[in-house]
Amino acid sequence: MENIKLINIKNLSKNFIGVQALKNIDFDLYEGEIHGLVGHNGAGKSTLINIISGFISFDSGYLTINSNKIDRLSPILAKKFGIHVVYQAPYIQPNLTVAENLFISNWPRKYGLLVDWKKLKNNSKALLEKLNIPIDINRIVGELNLGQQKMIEIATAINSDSKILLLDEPTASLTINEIKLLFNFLKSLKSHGVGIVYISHHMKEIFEICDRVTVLRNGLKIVTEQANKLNLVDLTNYVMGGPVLKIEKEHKVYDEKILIVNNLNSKLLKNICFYLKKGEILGLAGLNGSGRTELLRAVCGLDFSKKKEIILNGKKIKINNYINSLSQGIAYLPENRYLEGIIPIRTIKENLTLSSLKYISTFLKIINKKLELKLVNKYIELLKIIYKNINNEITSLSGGNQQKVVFGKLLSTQTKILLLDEPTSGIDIGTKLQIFKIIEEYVNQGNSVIFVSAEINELLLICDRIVVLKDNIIKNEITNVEELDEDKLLELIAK
Amino acid sequence: MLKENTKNIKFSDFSNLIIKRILNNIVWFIVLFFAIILSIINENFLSIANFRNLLIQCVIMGILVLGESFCLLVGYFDLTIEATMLFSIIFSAWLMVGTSKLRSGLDLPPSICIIIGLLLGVFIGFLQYLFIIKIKMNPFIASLGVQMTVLGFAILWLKGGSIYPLASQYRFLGDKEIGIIPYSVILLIVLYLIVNYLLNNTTFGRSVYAVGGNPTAARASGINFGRTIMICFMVSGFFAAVAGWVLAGRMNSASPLLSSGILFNVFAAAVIGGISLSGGRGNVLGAFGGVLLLVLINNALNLMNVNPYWVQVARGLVIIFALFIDSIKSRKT
Repeated sequence: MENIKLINIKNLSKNFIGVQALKNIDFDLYEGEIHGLVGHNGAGKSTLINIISGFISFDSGYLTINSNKIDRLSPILAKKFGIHVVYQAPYIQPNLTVAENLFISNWPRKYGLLVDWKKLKNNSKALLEKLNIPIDINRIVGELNLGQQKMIEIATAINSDSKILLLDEPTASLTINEIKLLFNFLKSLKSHGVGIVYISHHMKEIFEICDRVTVLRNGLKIVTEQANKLNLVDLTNYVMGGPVLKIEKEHKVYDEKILIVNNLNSKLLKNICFYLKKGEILGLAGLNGSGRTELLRAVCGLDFSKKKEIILNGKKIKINNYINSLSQGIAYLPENRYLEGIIPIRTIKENLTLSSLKYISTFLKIINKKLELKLVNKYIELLKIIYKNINNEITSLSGGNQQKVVFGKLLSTQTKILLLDEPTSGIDIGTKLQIFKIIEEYVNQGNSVIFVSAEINELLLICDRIVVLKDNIIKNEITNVEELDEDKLLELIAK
Repeated sequence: MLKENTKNIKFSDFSNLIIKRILNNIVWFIVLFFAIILSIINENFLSIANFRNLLIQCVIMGILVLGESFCLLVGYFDLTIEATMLFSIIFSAWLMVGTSKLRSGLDLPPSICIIIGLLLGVFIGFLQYLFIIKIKMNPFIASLGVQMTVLGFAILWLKGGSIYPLASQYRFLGDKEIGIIPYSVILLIVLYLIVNYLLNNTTFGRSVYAVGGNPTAARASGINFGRTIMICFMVSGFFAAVAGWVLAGRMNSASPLLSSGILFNVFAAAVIGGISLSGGRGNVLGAFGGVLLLVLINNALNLMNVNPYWVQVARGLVIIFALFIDSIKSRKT
């Protein structure tokens, strides 16, 4: 069974407008195989996926799909070959039912004009049974959880005869249980002869689900290997070309409680009370929807909250909006960089100085361009941002470097407390490490951080203390982080 | 092989930069093109008198575009500018000392009336902010509603009549000049330079671009989002009133018939000048290029004795072309 090659790529190269390139890539995908594709941001994964799905042309090389040699691929042609890409954000019709979504591109008809509802329901039921998805076909898709939505999206693709699935970070923003169900589903797809290319930053998932793994780095293929012949250290080495994610905790936690929050209530949150010590990194753990993001946003005044008491440095303060919060030295890094972190069409410089304009302008609010340049250069050097020209649009940077610019924006406000909401999401390991170092340096200067992450190993790696949230209340507090391992923390979060 | 690649990259980088530059300043290329055509078909085109004339024709639209640019940059539309302009003229003329029968009889001095007219513009801008940001009405329709109401008032106020003549202390901006340069042209140039400086060099300018570029991110960066939009609407209303002051002075009358249909041209000029309809991109100097272009096209069609009905077609085509360029630019990023 494992002999039919769905995709075969030899010596593929792609030159981009100065940004990045694929150089002599070999890649293949067998029927009934899950093939993991890992690498840094900017390693070339997305480019490869876009070439296979016909959105980008390639310069040179040899590509066959289902044994057809292809010189020029278009998205339409790719679709004809049964190639389907599943992106991070679900591409579904949230207001239609499961059955309607499954047959959205080929409605069963009667009399040539009317929808055959009976057939639609029967076929949908049969399809979901065949694929082993336990979801009622009459439910509205928007009401399903993200994992189920992803399954429905994949099932829709299978239904329109997709043989090759390209999954780009499918587990981002899924909970542990949802991931488990999704994986079972993907495994069952193998028996239907579907080939899956699986992109993920999560090494653990790669080992759990993939048959083979290909590692890309800087547009070069480093290795293709059976997953069971690799271990975590090897794989991380391949991805980074260096040692595993590890960081020395050097900072000192003082006894002084710099921030105390009492009785925080909002639309979702109930009676949140916690404190933050000087020089401390406090982790917030919890499932998606447990209130982690809401908590941070309520503290810094971005979301409305009532009856809260915030004590900063022993003084009771009021934070009604984010501008208050910034002037008190509490800054927030948003979860979604593209939507809330950056102004995509403006320059690197403007993005970096956006929150600290008052420090570089005169009393007439005229910006001192020399001071501004100095500030920008300072943070570019400090954060090791790789750029071409600070007057280019921020989107000319890679995702990791964009995130560093956002960090620069926060740090330049002379903040004492950083609220970080998933600061490493969608960022490669190399940059992650740099970001941890930035955080470490920051707390070393006697500042404090509240750190939210869905990645348990990151919480364990960097936090001094972890607070577990569930259903919008604080459920647990863990002070002895060193004695904890991933499984124990998972248990605490999930139970 | 590798060396060749890097060369290619550098070259395409460079050409990309050039394309970007050209797209950003395309309006000036077209202006140049029309200027050359005009100087060929009309030997008087390159005379000082003609340039003066062209600039005078730019004034009203130019000032309106200046105000509208604030709203566009911050990501909103101000559809009221023409109505605001007319109503502020009529209201201040109605209060002013004069000889017309349609006046209120209050006989206020012209300087006070000028100030009241400008404040009225600011107030109409503030109303829109109130409806759109505070009450959260649909921006486009709310602005349209305000524009209809204000225009209705402008017509109703004098019951279809007009007030003339106007006091000379009110008129100076529209019909006096220093040497051969009219006051209004000087005002236009000074306003453009000031606004350009403000948008590029002040924290307020940065806020405008940030809010227009991504309102959520601007808010999460500590920008006072509501206040920025409020000021933009108020500035837009203010400039509409300034344009009205110049226009009424030039025509020596106050009537709802002084202007009709300039609103669309204002949008056309701003967009072809590089100000994005989705906010956050463009500058006012480019927008001035847009104004100049529309005036030149008008001029060219007149000189060539083209049927005036074609002027409308030409403007429509200019707008479509401008939006085409705008969409290419947003795809490039």
